[in-house]
Amino acid sequence: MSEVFSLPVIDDADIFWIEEALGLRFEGERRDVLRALDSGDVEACPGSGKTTLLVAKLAILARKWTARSRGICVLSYTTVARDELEKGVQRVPEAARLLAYPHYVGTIHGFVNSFLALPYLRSYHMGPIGVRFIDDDRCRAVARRIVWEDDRFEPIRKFAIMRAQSSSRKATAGAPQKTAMEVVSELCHALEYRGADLGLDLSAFQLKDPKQPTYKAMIKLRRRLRRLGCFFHNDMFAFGERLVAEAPQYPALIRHRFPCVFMDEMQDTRPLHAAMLSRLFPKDACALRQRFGDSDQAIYDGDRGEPEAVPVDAFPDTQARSLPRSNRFGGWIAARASAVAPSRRVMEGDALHRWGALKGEPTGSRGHTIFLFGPEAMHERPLQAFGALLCREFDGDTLRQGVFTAIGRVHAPPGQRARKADQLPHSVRDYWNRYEPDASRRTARPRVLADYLCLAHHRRTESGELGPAITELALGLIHLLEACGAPDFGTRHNPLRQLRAYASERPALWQAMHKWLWDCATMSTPPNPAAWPVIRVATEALVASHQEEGWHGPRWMEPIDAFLAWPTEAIVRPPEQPPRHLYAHDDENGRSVNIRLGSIHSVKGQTHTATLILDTFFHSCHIGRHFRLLAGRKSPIALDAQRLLYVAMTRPSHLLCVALRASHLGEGKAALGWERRLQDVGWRIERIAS
Amino acid sequence: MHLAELHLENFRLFARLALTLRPGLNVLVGENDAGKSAVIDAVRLVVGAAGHDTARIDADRDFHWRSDQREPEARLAITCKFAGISEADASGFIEHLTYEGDPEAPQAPVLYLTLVAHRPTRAGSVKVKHASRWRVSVELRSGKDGQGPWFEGPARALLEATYLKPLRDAERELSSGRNSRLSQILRHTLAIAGEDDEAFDVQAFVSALGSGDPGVSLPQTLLRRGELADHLIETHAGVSKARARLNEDYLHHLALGSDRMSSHIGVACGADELRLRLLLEKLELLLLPSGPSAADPEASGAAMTRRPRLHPRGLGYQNLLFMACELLLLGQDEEKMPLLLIEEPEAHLHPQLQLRLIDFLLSRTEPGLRSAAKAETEEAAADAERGDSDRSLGKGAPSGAGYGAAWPDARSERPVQVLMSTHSPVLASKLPLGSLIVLAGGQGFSLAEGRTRLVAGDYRFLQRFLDATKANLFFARGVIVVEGTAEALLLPTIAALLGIDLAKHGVSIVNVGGTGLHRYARILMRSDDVPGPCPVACVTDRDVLPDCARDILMLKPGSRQKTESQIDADAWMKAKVKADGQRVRTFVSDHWTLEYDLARAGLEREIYIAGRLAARDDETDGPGDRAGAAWTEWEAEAEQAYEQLRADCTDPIERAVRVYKVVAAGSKAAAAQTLARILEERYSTAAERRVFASKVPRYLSEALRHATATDQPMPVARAEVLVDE
Repeated sequence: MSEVFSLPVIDDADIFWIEEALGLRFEGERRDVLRALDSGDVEACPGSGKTTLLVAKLAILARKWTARSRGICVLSYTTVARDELEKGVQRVPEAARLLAYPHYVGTIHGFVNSFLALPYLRSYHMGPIGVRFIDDDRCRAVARRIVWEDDRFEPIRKFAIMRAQSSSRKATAGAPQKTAMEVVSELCHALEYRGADLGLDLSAFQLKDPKQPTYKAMIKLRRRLRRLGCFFHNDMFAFGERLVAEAPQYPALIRHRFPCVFMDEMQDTRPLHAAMLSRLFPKDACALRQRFGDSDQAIYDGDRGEPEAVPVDAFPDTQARSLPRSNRFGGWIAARASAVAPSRRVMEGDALHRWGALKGEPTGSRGHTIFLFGPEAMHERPLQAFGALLCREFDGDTLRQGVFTAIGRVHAPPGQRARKADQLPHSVRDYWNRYEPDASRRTARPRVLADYLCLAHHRRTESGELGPAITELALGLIHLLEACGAPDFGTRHNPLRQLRAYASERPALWQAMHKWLWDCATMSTPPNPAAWPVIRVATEALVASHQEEGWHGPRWMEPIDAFLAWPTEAIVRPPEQPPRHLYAHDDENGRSVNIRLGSIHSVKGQTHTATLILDTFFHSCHIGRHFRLLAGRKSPIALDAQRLLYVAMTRPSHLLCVALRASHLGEGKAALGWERRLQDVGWRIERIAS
Repeated sequence: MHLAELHLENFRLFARLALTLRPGLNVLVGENDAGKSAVIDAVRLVVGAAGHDTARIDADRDFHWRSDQREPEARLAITCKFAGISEADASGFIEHLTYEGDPEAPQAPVLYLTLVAHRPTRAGSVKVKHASRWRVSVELRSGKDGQGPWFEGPARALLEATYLKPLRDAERELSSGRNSRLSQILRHTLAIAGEDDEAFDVQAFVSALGSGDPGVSLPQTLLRRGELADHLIETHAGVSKARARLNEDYLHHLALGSDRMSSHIGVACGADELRLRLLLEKLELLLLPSGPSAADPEASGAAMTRRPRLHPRGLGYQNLLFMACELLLLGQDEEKMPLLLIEEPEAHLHPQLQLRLIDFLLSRTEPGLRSAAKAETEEAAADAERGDSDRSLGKGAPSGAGYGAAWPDARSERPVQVLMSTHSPVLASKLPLGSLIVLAGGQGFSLAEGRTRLVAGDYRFLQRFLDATKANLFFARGVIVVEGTAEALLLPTIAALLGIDLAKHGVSIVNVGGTGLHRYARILMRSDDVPGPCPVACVTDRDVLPDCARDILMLKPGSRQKTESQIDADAWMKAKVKADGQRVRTFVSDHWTLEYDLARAGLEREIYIAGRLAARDDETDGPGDRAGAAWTEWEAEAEQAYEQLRADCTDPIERAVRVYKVVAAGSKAAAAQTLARILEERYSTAAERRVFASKVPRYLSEALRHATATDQPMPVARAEVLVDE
């Protein structure tokens, strides 16, 4: 085991080969990174072609790889990045074998599941532990249901009611009162296993004494979830730690299996996950460990306030290489964004060739605009102005095919909190009140049966195939059966097969389900209120046949009623209705453009044609307060806000705009002074009249 | 890493089977249809086998069919558990490993692989009945109970076993030709590959050779040498001439306009990989005729200059050669699991060669352990043979290294795990007893230490005394263990006269001589108290003299033989049957010895005559007629003498002792043989046999019934048979 793994050498011939295969050229520091076989980090600026570079490097290594039981491990943080890598790798036939044994390409979560947690659960000394699903939301839902339905968890209910009462006494604007329901939900967040001893962290609820009834009930609840096979994502990391604690030689075995490790999106990796990675793949113990990322873009989705651990093996390390040249945008955007970059790294914009898509001259002072508006001109007006600018700047083809976005830090409207006038605009919705944040989310899932049917119809028209429609309908059917009290189906993978397995003992039921799926999938019209009663009758007949022979479950029908009704408001729009996250702007010449609204988090890693950054309010401050950064001046700003701004500014390839509340710039002379300074660095200033 | 356990569920004749395998040699023994091939096929289905068509699950034959069911089972499962996993292996299969033991006592990880196959049933295919009619769905997953992830093809390839088919046509496998096994083996043999001398220029070489330049040297790699040969062939005068004629006399006249067609006759070319394969496929492997040339390098060098005339040797030797080739390959691939599956290696080999093969396999599987045969015959082994092997195989080996030097590289290579099936009692008797696995009645019985009731001393004892005849017990459906030749000779006759056909019941009689009766019995007794593979009847003498025997036999006062008055009858009996249990029962004579008890039971006359005749055994060796005539004459004399004895001595006990004295005076074996003949003559009709049945001591008839597993229904059945006759 101690033998040194000899890495394949990457020479000019290899680089030539991959350049031919991909139809690209790798020059300068990209070539250096491609060739580098030392374990150094790589800081890649936005649009630097990091994924392509990684794919090229992987392809070369895969082509020269000879070991049959040792492989290359490629880890990313999000499934989006993983899919992107997979797609890239599949383009080169020699690299496609990276997707099979002995290699691994996947997310960190997937890796921990496959290599640590699941082997641990399978080997559990009291007999294998089955996993039905690993899903935080569903896990919590199951836990909540158990707490409210099972009297053995009475102590938790009591505790929640008590806390709700005490919170109502101490309620303030900052800490609003909570209902017992909400407290239970919070408690369910604390059911994640922590650390190698698989304990629960209940300190946030002042629960420290294991003899306390509430504490005991929580432990019992956790055990119940485990028996049911319901797990949180972070549980898997705890199991991984546990396995390493029980088998200390494990990290060495993993490293032997994967002498080459590449990690993508290092900046997004949470401390908990980064700690696990450093433990498995410390820099000096790997034959090759390269981490890619951009510390300036380190923003997290939904901050959960995890304790910031002391960064061990922090990214980037001191000898990090950097890829400072962006293919995405030109020099002006690069310069403006560099001024915002927390690391103060200077990046170069290399994308001048792209300006061909625009009308007019490729100058730095073209339409990059700061829109200044007052509270009275907040709603729709900035979007209109942005739309008008787009129609002026871009030709018809670009308007149709380009990606135009308007993004803000806060996109969901804040819950019941009071909104003060000086806090406006608060969220993206304040710019367009019909904006529905859920619609922009990738994971938006139907809530009623009609949604599933709409979605299925949409899938069918979109792809021209029945398969995707059937899959959506089967998911709807599983949802329905679970609502009827059928045992939880667990994973949502391959739903049709699951239905079939569920009905394997009851051929008649399977035939009925099959017919239902077929009828719903082949409907000629999209679901509509007029046709709905027919579908509802058919569905109720199916439920009835499900509940009759061989059925021992409960017969409660109440939740089904709501599920089967035609919804007053469907979340998943039938395609002919405009989606609620697309703002359409039509100008007087009959040209139109769609502007996609969303959060900054949701556009991580994306490239847009033009981007409008919307001023929103978070915690105590508008992001627009930091307009000084836009002028290349210093401004005291929280690191996370700075990074968000940086991410937002580095999205567009062509046009960067900002919508600011005019009051940030001050009044009168001061305001004029700032306007001039902004104009000096190349911004256009446009005041939106009320 | 080795295959440690194999579990079958609904696979062929096994409803459920669990086998434990050892890291080294494992030998499946058992009668035909016991499932030896099924076990080996099961392993092949899970790990695959190199160089053979992939084993497939057959919807019609591979699913277990219980006799009380209308159709075969719908699901079969094969689970392999691999243990002894090295760190390198562990890292290779790290996502598939299972950690057994609890946190306090962690154990080394193991690898479970479970293959589950579903037979298409009507319920499973509601709509598409016709499409999936013959399709068996197969899943291979890791983890205990197959709960782990899919086991992908490239990972499975690392576990691939080497499989030697039964009765394979070794000659064909070793001959040249497309996809020949030899070419595959050679391609994997690293020695063939080497530094490529790409700079080699055929033209330059040939011209340098023609000019007599002393500096020319042959290319080193096979590929370049092939190129040279190709060049020589292509430039051969005949080939060039044919090419020129084809081009000039025919093709040019057929061409249209200015489009000149021309052809090239040459050796097929292609990518390096393809050309290397073509080269290797030209090779064939034949055994050289034995003789000094094989051993003496100088002589063989001379022989190489002219192409040796090769006569293929018999199938047996070809088989050996083939196995040697496969082992060469197996020993070389570092990343692959060294698992060798052999079915019936004894095919075409005579017993001595079988032993030699076993010895070789043992040296590969369990270095340091040699077969019992070797241990026993080492001293007696011909020195010539030893010298032979030293000379041919291990010139550098120190001469004092003994026999081990014959396999010089056995220790340097990785030990191989072998799973082998055999029909050969010769092999079975010479293998380490612990390596045997008896398959019987859909069950497997490992004879490894700890699994049987044998203790370490028993293993040593049995290893010494187990021979081919005794090894029959591994293939039997019933075993009668006897302590002497007389019993061994007489029991088949007695059984036949009682209407029990031992051959039909597959019963083996194992004569263990004077010692170790119970050790043999314990071979088939299980440590976990499950019933063993077959019934075992131990037949033994009670060995208590009648009181009068001391005087009649004129025993010395110090004789250790006990008389009735000297023993505690119950304790004595208890000691005799102390080893009984499971399917082993001891049947003890009622009084003293076989002959005495037979005499007491009513065969006194026949025993006496047989004893008298046996004493004159030497004289019957003459020509047939005289012997026959003399026989009749002597038999009449003996008959008279018996009548005299009856008249002289009226006490049945004393008379029986006197009859025994006559038998004991001569060879008991000869007497038994004679007695068998007399019994066959005198009890030939059905009526006579009924009389005979009443004269057979109970312990013998019971032993026979136990061994044939006809204990209960026997009496009735036998009566019916007799009535029919």
